[in-house]
Amino acid sequence: MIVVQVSFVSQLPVFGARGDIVLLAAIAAGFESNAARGAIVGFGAGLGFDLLLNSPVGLSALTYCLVGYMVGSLQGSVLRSSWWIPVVGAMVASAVGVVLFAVFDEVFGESTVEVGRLPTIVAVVAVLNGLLSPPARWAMRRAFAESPRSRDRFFLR
Amino acid sequence: MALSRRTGRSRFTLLLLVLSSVTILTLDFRGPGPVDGLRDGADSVVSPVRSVTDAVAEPFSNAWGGVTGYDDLERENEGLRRRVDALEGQQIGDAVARRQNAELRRQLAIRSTSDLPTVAARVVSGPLTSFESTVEIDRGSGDGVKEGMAVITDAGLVGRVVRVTGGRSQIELLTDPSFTLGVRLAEQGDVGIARGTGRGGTLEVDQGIDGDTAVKRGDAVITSGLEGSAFPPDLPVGRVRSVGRTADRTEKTLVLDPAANLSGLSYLTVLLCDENCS
Repeated sequence: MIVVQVSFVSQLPVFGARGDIVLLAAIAAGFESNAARGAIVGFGAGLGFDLLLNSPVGLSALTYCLVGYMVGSLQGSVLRSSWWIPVVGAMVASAVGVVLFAVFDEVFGESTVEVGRLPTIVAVVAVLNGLLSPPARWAMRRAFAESPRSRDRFFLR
Repeated sequence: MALSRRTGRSRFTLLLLVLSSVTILTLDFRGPGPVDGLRDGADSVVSPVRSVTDAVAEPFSNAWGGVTGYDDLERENEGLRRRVDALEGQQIGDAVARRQNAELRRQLAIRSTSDLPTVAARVVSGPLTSFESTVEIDRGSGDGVKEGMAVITDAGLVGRVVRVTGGRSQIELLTDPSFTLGVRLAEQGDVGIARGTGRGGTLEVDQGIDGDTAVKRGDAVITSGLEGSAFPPDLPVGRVRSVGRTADRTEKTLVLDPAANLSGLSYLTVLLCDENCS
């Protein structure tokens, strides 16, 4: 996921803003599992991403674990009868994630983005993550569905 | 009952992860330590994989850049044609001044930037997120590149090397908020400290420019190259966009546009000099 982000998504800017599928991983994990798993996936993916960036290490981890937890907490109360509800949910969560990151970035004294550009970044990340949310959720569903079996196999050996 | 136990466990997990994040952030802010070791480890794991995936992604990235940036390129081309005409005239006068300058430097035994060893590099990656002001080049420690070295184009200073692996380096652009350097007003000679603002691709000089110094829009700003500086003297940094005053009104503050165009970087030059380049 991180390699896809840095090699593909980061290299294809839209209106000068770059997508963020690492954040999408946290959102998809929260959506397809529960709050704790959403937070753990968000923390792990965010920390891995942080290690490749020039921003303070831990900033993405903190943001993505909070977003993963939020999505995991709310997913039970969202009706999923329509296909578009998870897509819109991913868009809203992505927008919250970007704004949260910008706030933490400001708090930790490394503010790098002018406020006027933030709406463009929020829109680009939200739309891209909304479009990619079905395959991301499918991948997370498969990952979580396989994990108990692989754990059993490990213990049976 | 079971639900509240699960919620409690989830909250405990979140608390643990938030505390871990804050601890890591604190360790990173404290300077070189275990986090740098983790960064180096991540770089050495990801770099070989990225070399392969970047090669696959490059044609897509180029095609995307061509599609989304066509209008900008056309406008830029028009502007560049006009500038070339103006610069061709100016070049003749500059050639004479350059020759005289080189002659005087030789007589006075003053080292110039052109005496420093350099390595040319290609930009292989832009910023990884919308919040970053970095680019990556295809030269690393194997080519003599070290952290802190200045990176330039023909137009002027671009930034400095912040991370180095075997075959790649990450360059922090001079507009990044954590970037500071000593600068000098080319004409007036006042020395100040410039910082990246991260906003609107500008720098700000907020210390050192005397309140009585006459500074106007368009004035050139160069590196000061004071003793111990990592940047050699006289590298073009930018031009004054606007002039203000500090809160106590004793000094002037300047907003600078970088001399180098940071949005379309393709090839860069690394000055192989990491300490006391003055």
